Amino acid sequence: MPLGLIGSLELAKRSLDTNMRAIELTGHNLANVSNPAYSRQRLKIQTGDTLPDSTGPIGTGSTVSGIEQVRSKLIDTQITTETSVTGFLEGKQKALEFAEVNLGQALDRQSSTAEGATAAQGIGGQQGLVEGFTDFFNALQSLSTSPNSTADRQIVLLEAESLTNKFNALNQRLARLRTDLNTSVKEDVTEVNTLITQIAAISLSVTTAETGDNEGSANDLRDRRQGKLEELAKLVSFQSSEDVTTGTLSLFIGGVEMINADNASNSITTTTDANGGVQVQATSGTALALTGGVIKGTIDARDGDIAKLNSDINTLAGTMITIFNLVHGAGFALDGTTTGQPFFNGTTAADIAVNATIRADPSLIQASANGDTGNNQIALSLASLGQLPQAALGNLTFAESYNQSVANLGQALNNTNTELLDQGAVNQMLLRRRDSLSGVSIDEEMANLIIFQRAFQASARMVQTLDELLQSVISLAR
Amino acid sequence: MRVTASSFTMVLTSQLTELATKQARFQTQAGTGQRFQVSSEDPRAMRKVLDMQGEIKLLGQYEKNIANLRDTVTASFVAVEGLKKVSDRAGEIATRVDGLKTPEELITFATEVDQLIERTVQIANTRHQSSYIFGGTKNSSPPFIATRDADGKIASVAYQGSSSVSESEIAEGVRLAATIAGANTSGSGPRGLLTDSRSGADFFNHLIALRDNLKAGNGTAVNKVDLPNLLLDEENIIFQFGDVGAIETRLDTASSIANRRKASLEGLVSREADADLALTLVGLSEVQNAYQAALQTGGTILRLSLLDYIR
Repeated sequence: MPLGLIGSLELAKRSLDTNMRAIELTGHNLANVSNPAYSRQRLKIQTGDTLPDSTGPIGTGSTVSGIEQVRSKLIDTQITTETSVTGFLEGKQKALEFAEVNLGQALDRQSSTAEGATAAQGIGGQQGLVEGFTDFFNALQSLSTSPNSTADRQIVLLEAESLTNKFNALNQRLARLRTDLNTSVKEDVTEVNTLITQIAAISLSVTTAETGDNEGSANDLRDRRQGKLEELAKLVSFQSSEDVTTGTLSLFIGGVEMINADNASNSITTTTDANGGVQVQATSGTALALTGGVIKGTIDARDGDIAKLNSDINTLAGTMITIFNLVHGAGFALDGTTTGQPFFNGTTAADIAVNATIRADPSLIQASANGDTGNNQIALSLASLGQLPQAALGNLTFAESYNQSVANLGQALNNTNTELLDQGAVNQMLLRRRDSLSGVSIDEEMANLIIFQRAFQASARMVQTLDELLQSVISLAR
Repeated sequence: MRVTASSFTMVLTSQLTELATKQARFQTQAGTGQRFQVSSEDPRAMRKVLDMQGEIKLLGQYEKNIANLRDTVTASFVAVEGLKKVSDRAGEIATRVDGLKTPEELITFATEVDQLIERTVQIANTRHQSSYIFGGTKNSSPPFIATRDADGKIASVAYQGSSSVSESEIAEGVRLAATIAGANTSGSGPRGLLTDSRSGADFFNHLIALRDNLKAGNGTAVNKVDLPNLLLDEENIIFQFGDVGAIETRLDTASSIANRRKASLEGLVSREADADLALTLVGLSEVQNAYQAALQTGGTILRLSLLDYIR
């Protein structure tokens, strides 16, 4: 049985509706062309049910069966996982970069000579701790050639003060960096908890929207949730899964469940360890075994390479104080009688300082071994300490030990930079793959738009034609 | 592979960032002349350069030490030269004394020897940069103290300095004493300049004895005792002359070695740290070309779409 004029009019109306919805969806896709979290959507058009007829089945046009989102769960999961690795390396890189800056040991060849150093005065130059060591021990060498020279004694004190100031400043900068990194971890933890709450809320909306036969009706919510999951992955590694029957989301951070069936059941919080470092655990009290993310990267750098640097600098200062005082204490001051005075006070880089009594009177530097003013044996011994390997420093000299610390930190940052470069390539590849699958192509959408536009225009013409036919039929009756 | 609207921007942004970073690094290399500035850029080279820079500065310090010691040695040389002249004249006077000289002539000689003694005290208390160079390690006060008789003539000279001298480092592990002790009667250590028990030198006492024998008209004592004694002093002074010359030579050698090592180390530092300007500029030029090409092609591709052809 044919459709007849009214049936055909109904078919044309459905066609108009289908193409209108396709045009709307094209607009939606185009509107999100620059939204990185958006996955393009496609209208699922299916052929209308046919009507049986003696001449064969008669088509009834098309209907919209739904809107599908073009995305791959596998790629999304891979991106989330790799984002955590990138976050970890970025957190570590940022912390180590700050440490390198705070170390202040840059190379400036132009100021390495005495003339260059004078030219660079006030505008740059090489002013790290190692220069402090070199200048101090060289001043002692000068003193050894003229042990009763007040001028050379004054220079020794000035260089010693410069060295201790550098130790103190470096210690303060590293302590400040530690505080800043602790603050950064706390801020990231707050951000993680906000994201957990948001992801749980969006997931609930997804589940609610897709309840029953409404699969795919929460496409845009899924985009938003994926965006939030990637934000979370940057900060902390996690595992998430969707329940195959209910569609609810569960999320675990460091092995501890944070979202249970769309419900934010737990959160993370900070604690302070014995060394004053901020650590992360579940609010329920369970320890978290983090494997990635900025938080772990920051903590690892702080408690690893930066802590070692700090410890090495303190060992260096402590060894210097002990060894130097031991030799100096055995000498005699310029008056020939004063002896046993320590040259340095303090025990670490934080409190190392020149003995205030000696600082006030350079003649109290104990350069003589027997009290004779021209005796320089102690000054010579002190000067040669600069070239003497120290067992406490792994059989390196003071300067070599510091240079090794600089190189170790540099190597750690260099390794992290290289890893991050490799990781960047992996990320780029995955993002391109996802973009290739889910991204919006303007050309594609415009081409589709022309098809939908023409189909809409044709359907409208059909309505017009059917209307004319109906008019003709009605005219027959007059 | 399906290419979307953001594919181009994603790739282009990544390429431009990479090229801009390379440009910045090449520019820094060209501007500073250095291949790297901080440890993370080349930790191995940074470690080596810092170590070598320390060594270069130490060598520079050794050169300063050598310059200081050379000043002292020069002052010692001038003083020893003065003593040699005194010794020569005293020996000449002692030699000229024979049985033909009248008592008046001998007294005239004695007066001249008196002046020689005064001059010797003055030379022996030579001061250089606030230190008495023949005081040994007790160098903050005059080492030779003269005691005078009722006529104001020097009756004796006592040494209040030290018989030991200070050594200074002129190279790693190499120490050198640039000063001479005025006297050493210990029988060990460095020879004394004016009094030395091993060589038999006792210049002041020998001069005073010569003067007193001349004054007393005792020509025999002058010939038999004073002349041989003065020869011992002369030999000791000549020995010190040679010693000072040897020290100068050692200082010259040490200075030359330090200079050569510094130059060699500078070369090594340069090899590790300096940028090859030609390669840097060629690299910069290549990167700039690539950057321009990326901008141009990117701009062309991004400007075009199907929209340009739909009427």
